[in-house]
Amino acid sequence: MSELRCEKLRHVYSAGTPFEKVAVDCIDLTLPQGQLVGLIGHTGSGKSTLIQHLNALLTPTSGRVLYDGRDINENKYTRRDIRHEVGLVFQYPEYQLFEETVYKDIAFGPGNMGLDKDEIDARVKEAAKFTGIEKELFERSPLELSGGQKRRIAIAGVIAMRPSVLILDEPTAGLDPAGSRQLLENICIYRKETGSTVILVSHNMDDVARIADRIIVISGGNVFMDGTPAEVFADPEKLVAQGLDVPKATAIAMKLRERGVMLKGSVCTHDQLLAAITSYREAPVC
Amino acid sequence: MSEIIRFDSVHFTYPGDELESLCGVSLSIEEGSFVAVVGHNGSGKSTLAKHMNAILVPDEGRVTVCGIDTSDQDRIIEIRRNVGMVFQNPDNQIVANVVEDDVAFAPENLGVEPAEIRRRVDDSLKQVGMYDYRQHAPHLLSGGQKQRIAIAGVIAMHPKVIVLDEPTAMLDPVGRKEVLSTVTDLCREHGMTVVLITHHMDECIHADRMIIMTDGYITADGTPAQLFADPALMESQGLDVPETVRLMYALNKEGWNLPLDALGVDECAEEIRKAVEN
Repeated sequence: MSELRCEKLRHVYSAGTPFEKVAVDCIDLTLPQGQLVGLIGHTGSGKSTLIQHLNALLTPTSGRVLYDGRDINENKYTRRDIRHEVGLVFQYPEYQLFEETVYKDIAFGPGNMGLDKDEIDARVKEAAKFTGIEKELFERSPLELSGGQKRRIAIAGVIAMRPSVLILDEPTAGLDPAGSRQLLENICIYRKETGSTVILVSHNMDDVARIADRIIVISGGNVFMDGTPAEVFADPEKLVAQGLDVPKATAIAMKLRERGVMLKGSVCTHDQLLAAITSYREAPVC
Repeated sequence: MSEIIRFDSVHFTYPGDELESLCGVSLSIEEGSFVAVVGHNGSGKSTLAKHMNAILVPDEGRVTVCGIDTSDQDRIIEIRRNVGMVFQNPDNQIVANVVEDDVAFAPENLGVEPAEIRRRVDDSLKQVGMYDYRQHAPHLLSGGQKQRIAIAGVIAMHPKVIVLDEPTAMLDPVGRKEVLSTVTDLCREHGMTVVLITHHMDECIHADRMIIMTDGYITADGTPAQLFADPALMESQGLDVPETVRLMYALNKEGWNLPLDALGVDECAEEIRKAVEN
């Protein structure tokens, strides 16, 4: 079982200049293998800086990031190895695509790992299947495809390395509702079949509430809340005060409670809201 | 109210594509209305938008904007002055190093008098709530703030129509709310015609009219309340309905009798409260 851990992680941009900014203040975090974690926080909260530390794209100002107990920044070899283990998909897929064909683009990561041709071929096909890319697209240029397709290719390129931790920054931004649902479903299937850890950075609280095992709220460079969706959304006012959104179901429940309809329990999904309203009607609490 | 944009059987195919992106679209948009356009990726929404200010012109059929045929090359400047566009990524639209210079860019290009430019820049920044940031550097602002600067840059041209192509796709919830309330305000308070292309169904709630596009055709056209009241239609188009409607629909299935047009969170909560108290 592999485990990713941050110990007193701190990151300061432009230290010692007038533009000095503490992006990550002091984060202690343990991410055990196999969890699906929703990482939320408003723009500038430090969550993008945090995820770039998880595969050594940034070096901590102080503190450490450990993978299986070993400091990932120990030397250049550990830094290279961690990038095969922790795959990061950025928000803007077009920044991540550069090869002549879709096939070559997906094959780039596994190629760098020194795998043989057949193994690379198998991984490209498997990754394409996971992300819903048709074989017909393999010889097309990734740069001429639609935003949704580019997104899938960027994710496939990372999945093809079979990382044990998959980090996705806003994977559904700009996708239509059906495409977005499909992509999240595939991510859940990927997690189930491979036992990987998945970290989903998202502004969509409904998605996070529905699929995550655990939600980590980042604010001001620190962990502000950490728990199951039910625990985190049990106190929606606290999140709203931070300028964060809550799931739509939670927002409706808040408005009902304001009106004296005191629904029981923590509500963060459609089904929970439906159940809470139905049981309230049967046995209202006054 | 008068018509401001008109599409007559518009066909369009991108060079090199086999399939048509617009397959005979006819549409009439009233001046001062707020129109939301939704549809899956590749349905033709953005292609439709780009026909509204002559970035694209029809292969067949005709688009008229403020009475001008968009295929009239000589009047293209006039069309673009009347119809401003805002795109998904604010970083691709901001050109200057200081917020107010950026907003002044379009009116300067249009040859507006300096004193008038000053006035327009100030007014536009006030309308989007960014006046206090006029001396800031745009790249240090948040996504929502940058997108509001892009909107200010467009409204400084004094267009009659503003077309926004997924303006909130890259923003966080706070940024989304800022942009959406700015846009709604432009329509309601300043009489501007707004065409909003989006994947977020809850952004359509406040529109006067909602158009669904599928594979180059307009497949539904009505008020948001009318379209959302038909979850089977929305589902068949690969679209969601807002949680408010989904909830009321589910409760009605269990024998409640809630109106499906209470789209806002407040209205929805109010209807449910009334129903439980009876």
